[in-house]
Amino acid sequence: MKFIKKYKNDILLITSVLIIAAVIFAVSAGTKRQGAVAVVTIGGTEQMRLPLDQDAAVVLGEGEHTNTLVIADGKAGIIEASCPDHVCVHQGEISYEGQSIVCLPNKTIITIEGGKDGDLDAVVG
Amino acid sequence: MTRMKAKKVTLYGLLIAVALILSYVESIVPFFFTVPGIKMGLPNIAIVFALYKIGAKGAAAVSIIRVFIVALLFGNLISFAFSLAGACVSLCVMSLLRKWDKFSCAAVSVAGAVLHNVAQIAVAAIVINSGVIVFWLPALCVSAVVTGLCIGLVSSLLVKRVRIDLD
Repeated sequence: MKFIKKYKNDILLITSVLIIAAVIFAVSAGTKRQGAVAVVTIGGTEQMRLPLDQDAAVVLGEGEHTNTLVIADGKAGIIEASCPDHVCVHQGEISYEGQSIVCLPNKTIITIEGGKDGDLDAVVG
Repeated sequence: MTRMKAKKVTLYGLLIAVALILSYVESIVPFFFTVPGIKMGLPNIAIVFALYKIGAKGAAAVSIIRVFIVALLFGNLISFAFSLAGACVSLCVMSLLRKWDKFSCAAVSVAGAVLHNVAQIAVAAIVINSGVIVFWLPALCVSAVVTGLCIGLVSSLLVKRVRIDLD
């Protein structure tokens, strides 16, 4: 009890940080949907949309700045990149709505978007 | 007077050197989970120590000079922008919380770590011109709480045990 009283403010602060994190996580953790697409954006402009249910391998970018995007088993991931740190490769595979892979050196973002009208599980009413 | 000035210069130089070494150690120790940007925040030990021992101005000097030198030694323009934003925001928050005097050293360090990440995410969102990376924030926040707490506990021990007299 003494401990809690002494560090009341600290505990409040840390708890509120964790709660905010949980809320953002809850918002972002959308469910996996069929018909989801991987949206490729380079330098702020959308380049292409690739459906996750079709396997594909694409080389993004040109010249020295390239990332190789592979879609397999309904997941998208970057397997090869020209940048020195390979952060995008280490981010693994993504498949849920709102997830993203970002390559800062090449200004490339892969985002998963799902949910067109035809993807609803059921319509009630 | 000159004696005090010499002591002050020495102290600042020492703290900056410690912060630089900790930055280097941090850059060679792999601490990599699936989310990029998770770091231990070792240099923050020196910054928090400076904040509690020589005040906000001194901590600001140590922190900003560290960011510049680290960018020159190991970084590039992008990493410089990232660390400068993180350092400034976390420094402001930590100074305010310290002044407010309602929180322990460890909580101040946690707040600094969390806001450091928030600032870096904000810069990244500007660089890539998209808001989607906000979704990295939960993981970064949780890691910042853990690392910030450890760093804060180490710092508070140092603040308690290391004696500095500038007179």
